Amino acid sequence: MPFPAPWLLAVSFALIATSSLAQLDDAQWVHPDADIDAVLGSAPSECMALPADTVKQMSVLTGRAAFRSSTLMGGHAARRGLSCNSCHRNGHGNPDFFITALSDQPGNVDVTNGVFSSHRDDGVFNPVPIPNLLDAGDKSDFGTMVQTDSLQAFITGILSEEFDARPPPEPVFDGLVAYVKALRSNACPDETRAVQNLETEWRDVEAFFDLLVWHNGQGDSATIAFMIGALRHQLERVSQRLEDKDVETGIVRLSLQLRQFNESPESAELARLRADMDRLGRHFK
Amino acid sequence: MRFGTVIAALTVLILMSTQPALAAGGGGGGGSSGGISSGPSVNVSKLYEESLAHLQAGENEDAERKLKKVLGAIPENAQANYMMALAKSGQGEDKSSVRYYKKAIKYDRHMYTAYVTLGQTYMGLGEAADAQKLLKKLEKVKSKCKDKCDMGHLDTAHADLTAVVNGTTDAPGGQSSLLFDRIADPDSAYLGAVALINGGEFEAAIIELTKLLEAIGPHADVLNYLGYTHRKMGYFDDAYGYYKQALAADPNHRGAHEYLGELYIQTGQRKKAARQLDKLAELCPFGCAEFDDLEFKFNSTMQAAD
Repeated sequence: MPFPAPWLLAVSFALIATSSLAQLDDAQWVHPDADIDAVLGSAPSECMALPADTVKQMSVLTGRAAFRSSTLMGGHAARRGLSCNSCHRNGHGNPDFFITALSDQPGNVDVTNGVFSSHRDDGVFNPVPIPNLLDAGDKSDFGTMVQTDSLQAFITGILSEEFDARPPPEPVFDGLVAYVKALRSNACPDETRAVQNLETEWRDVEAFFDLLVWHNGQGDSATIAFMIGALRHQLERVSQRLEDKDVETGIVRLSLQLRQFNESPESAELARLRADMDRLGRHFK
Repeated sequence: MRFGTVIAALTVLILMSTQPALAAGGGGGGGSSGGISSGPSVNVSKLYEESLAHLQAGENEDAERKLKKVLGAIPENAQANYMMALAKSGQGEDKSSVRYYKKAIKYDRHMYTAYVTLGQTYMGLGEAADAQKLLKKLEKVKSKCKDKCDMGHLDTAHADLTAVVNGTTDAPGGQSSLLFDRIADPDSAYLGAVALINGGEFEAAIIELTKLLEAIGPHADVLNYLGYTHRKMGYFDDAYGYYKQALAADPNHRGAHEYLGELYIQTGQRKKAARQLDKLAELCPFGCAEFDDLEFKFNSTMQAAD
């Protein structure tokens, strides 16, 4: 289905007002006493050391996308829109994170509870601080409540036991491990905080689309499907920040076309979707 | 003292809870959008709580007016029917209250409190034979109890109703057993129930969810999980009833559509399951876990059937 007429696409950026950040999925994790707009209007800067090798780079970026998507999760977490990034914002901790009955204070959460997990409920209310993941790749032991000796085993445990997730496709899992390893304290930019707005959220839409194109070339259907899910989730994040209904209609249409692409993938179709995405992107730059 | 007056006085003691946000379900399903339930067109849970406030204040007519709206949206909600019976009794309309008590029992045969109050009402109206029949009905429920019954409450209700029927008391000592218990923190209680479900403790979860339903009224998240737990225990008819109520409370409740779809898959109704999948696709333009999981189960059973 074609996109709206050019006159519609000419809607100026000024008209695309950002709605209240309280509407974002992420707002449900912010402590009620915190200033939601301040908390969700920026995040600690991402400290990612991207490898030079293209294949490794793509792996890290695939993990980055998975880290930000609730499609990685299962059970209650997936349904509430929780992602790794909800707790570890840009790989850091989250001093404002709070869930009723699972947190005793902002920044803490009980990870051995029965709400998110059918495996790790220890029957005790024992919240722990959400850790910063920078330099986690250098560690030899992982976990506060449940300990393992490798990052792979630790992430496997988190996904399958803490969040009842189905195992992701291998390239996604490997990417997740590579991404966490790429979070380095010596890779932090000068600015300690990074703005989060429509433009930055859209930048991730474009980045995830590039990954989709790359994985489409690799031909692993499970990974392609995962990337489409992550991309659609990212489009939802953009949509939540929008007030302009016309632009939102275009974003919904793109999401539905991606779903269609998932059912019958054709590279030519992907090229057309990119053109559609680029047209939409003009509103966010 | 007429039973209606007794009940009106007792309802004064019914305690309120704040309108809880609750959250999307776990164990494979849940709420409307991203976790916090989106509101239905008529907020029946809020109306239910307001009707409790009216009953608390002795404003039975106001309570009745609001309960009519609740029952207009969800006629099969046992708790609202029970509350309507109390409102009727509070206005001295014992005969009218019978209809609502009977509905409460019809839609939840395990609402033991309603048996006792209905028995009292029958006796007050001089309909001892109906009270006897009711006692037999409760005994039948008791005899068929497997792992679903809250035996403590059932035994208490049975003793109270027996005393009423035998005329040894018209207002059993366990008056408090006629009331819905207060829940100070519904959100935490809900998460506790989710944890029980994730731990496979369905019987305990049903008890906790039922208490929540009594305290806060027909909330789609709670009703959906009652459907889920009953389905997991093999009570498919009960599960269907709860899903139906959940969707009456919130027609766009993603978790209820997902679980209703699962029920259809379990009972071999594939076309109906496919319709739930279509509905979820419509509700989730950006995709959602509820769609993904139902689609996964749908396709898995298709492959198994091939």
